Amino acid sequence: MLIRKFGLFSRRLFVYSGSDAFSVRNHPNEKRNLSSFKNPFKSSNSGLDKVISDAERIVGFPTSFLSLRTLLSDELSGVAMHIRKLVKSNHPLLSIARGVLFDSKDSVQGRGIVVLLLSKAIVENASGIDHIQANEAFNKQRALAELTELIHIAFLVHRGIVNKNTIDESSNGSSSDKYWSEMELGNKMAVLSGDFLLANACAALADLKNLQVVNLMSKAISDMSHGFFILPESGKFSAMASLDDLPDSTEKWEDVMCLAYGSLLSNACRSVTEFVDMGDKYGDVCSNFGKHFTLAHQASFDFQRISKLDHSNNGKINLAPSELCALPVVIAAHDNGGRKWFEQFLKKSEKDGRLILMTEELTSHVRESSSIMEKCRDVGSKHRMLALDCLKELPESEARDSLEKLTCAFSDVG
Amino acid sequence: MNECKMILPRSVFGRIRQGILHGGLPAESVVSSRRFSSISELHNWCNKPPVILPNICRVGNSTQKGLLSKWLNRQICFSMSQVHPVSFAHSKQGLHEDLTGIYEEIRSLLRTDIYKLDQMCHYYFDGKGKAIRPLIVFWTSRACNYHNVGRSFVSNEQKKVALISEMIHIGSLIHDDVVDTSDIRRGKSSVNSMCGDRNAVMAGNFVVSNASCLLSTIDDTEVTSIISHIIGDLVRGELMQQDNQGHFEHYLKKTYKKTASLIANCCKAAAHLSNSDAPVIEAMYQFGKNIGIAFQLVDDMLDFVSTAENLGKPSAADLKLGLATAPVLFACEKFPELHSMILRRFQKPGDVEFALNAVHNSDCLNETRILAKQYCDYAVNHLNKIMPSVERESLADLTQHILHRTR
Repeated sequence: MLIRKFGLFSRRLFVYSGSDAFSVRNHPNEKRNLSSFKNPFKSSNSGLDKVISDAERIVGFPTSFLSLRTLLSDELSGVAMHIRKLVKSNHPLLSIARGVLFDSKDSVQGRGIVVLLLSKAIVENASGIDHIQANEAFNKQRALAELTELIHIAFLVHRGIVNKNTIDESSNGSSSDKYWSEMELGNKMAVLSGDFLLANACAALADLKNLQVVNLMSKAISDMSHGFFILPESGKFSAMASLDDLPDSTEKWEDVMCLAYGSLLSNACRSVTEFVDMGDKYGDVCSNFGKHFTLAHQASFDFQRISKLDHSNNGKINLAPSELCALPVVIAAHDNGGRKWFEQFLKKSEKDGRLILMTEELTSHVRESSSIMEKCRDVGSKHRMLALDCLKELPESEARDSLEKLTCAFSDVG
Repeated sequence: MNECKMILPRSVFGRIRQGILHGGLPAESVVSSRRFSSISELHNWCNKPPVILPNICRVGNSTQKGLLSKWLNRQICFSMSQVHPVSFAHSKQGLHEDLTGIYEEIRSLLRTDIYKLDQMCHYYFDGKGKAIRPLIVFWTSRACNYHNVGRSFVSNEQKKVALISEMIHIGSLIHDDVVDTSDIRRGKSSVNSMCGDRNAVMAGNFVVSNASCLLSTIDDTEVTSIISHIIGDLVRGELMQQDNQGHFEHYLKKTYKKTASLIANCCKAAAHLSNSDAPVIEAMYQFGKNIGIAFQLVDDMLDFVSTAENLGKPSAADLKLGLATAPVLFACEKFPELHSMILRRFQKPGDVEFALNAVHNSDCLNETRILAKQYCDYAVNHLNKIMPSVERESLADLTQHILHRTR
């Protein structure tokens, strides 16, 4: 039954949060260069797999299934039917949906597992909590992990909305009515399904019956809307009206990444402590851990995507902020006199004055400067150390050890 | 806002002087927009079948409007086009004051350093909206508080519900505009056509998530559940709207979820916050639900009769979007061939024209109004479960205002 509904996508349904920053995917053919960076945990991909499967063993179930319940509800089947019509179009929604639902067995949901490990680390060591209370808290934290992933996927879907003026540009002359209406349908479905996921997250949030958590997670959604408002997407549908709000220093990069990516995990981590009334004791530590974990990972992600020569990504959509906001590029801009430096890599569209980024020129230029790449790596390791320091504040446990390994695996600046 | 143009016959208030009918208002504020040479001409005019005659009368006072509409046997629809709902209850002291400053308050909740986002959010909260939802929440709060403690007031928490109702409404409007690819709303270009669809959706998320932040400051998890239910309903309503089923049950269910749920659940939350007992909470919920459905029915009807200028959005917009609203569903009875057009969402050339023609050549607009009137009557019946108060009467009057509005 379920399979028929989503038959479009795959036989096996797996939740996979797209190939954006936070999710990990196993590329069997891709070998990373590890020699240049001292990593306490040799994180080849098989190493990462092991870290994750260990973590899943500790929390008790595979986190890839976290948000499946919502994704397979009746209401969304109607959307799936409409999405079918988009199969031949190149609307990003389809690739995102494929990413979210495809049977990529090596995918994992980073946020969910961090939340679950953290709650394990805290609940198990919380004083004055009996077995039943601990169980109840853990159930709530599981729901929290689920809704964290839901919010994340909802934003992935919303970010796939294509601006009308960019449709024109990228249709390569095939700007037929059909193309237009397909794009419109795609946008429509992206808004609706993203809203649907957010609404489910809201309902799950209200069910937690904890006002502090409602506040924290609402703040996270607000921050994400804020962050992704500033950050343009990379790729051919990118729409950059102005450069004014783009980050032009490491500090600003940290700020905007905290909004777009960090806030969700950071607020989810703080929420974990609220369920067991440990907010005063561990709230700040957990929140900071979430923040630095994300920044370390984001720095590593940016490092890799700029240093990588091949951007084709096996034909899969790579939903990431525009390369202009990648950390090495931001550092380069800062070292070269601010946003004005960007302009040499932008050309103005003759049609509507939209700015088009010459990605290859930009990345190869930045890649060549080893000092810039080194600075980027330093930012990454700084946040990794800060994240690990936060973890040291927590009571010792198997879950904490696993979190340390995850932090290192996710922030690998190979 | 005191401008009142009324046509009032001798038997109600006034007298005929030089062919102009005066009402029981200060003479200077009474101007007829249509002249009658004799009372019999007016009678003839009134006895015509019910028609919608925009801009014939502008009424500013609910009592006068009530009396007038009784005398005219509710045969005329009053245009309220120039009258802000605030002035509608003008005679009832203090009622409109609740609304002053709410847009400033919302804007301060949404303050951000990002200039463009700030602009986009404030764009809709410019205070020119109808603010009908906050108004209903305020009056419901007052009516319930009066019922429970004998004093008419709005608590801080209830005020937050009013703000939340408007914020959720606006957030959903922004997303609807992207879904409907509409470029015009309230007579000005919509946010998505200004700043791009993706950013408009982000702005919508921003508004709703801030409403949710505000919600978390109401120290009551029951209210959290009630309000978060609305968001789910809104999305499900929008999803239902994406497939036409061509029958009333589906349409009414969609209307409840998309429009009425917001009003109903906000009324419920307001009643809950005044410590009402279960029957009162249920009554207020039912009131909101019925008035909400009536509101949408009238909206759907106006889509066919109003001009673009009056409505602030292009007319027959629903049809062009492929939506089958109440008038079309009613017209189906006389023109069964409409049914297949509804199912294919008026996609074939000529479908929209055929449907427009069918609507104007059948009694369906009137039937829609009658249905809306029924919902208004249900709404008023539920109000009778609480003690009479000025606010309760205002809510009852509001149902009439909703029924007879032209925009």
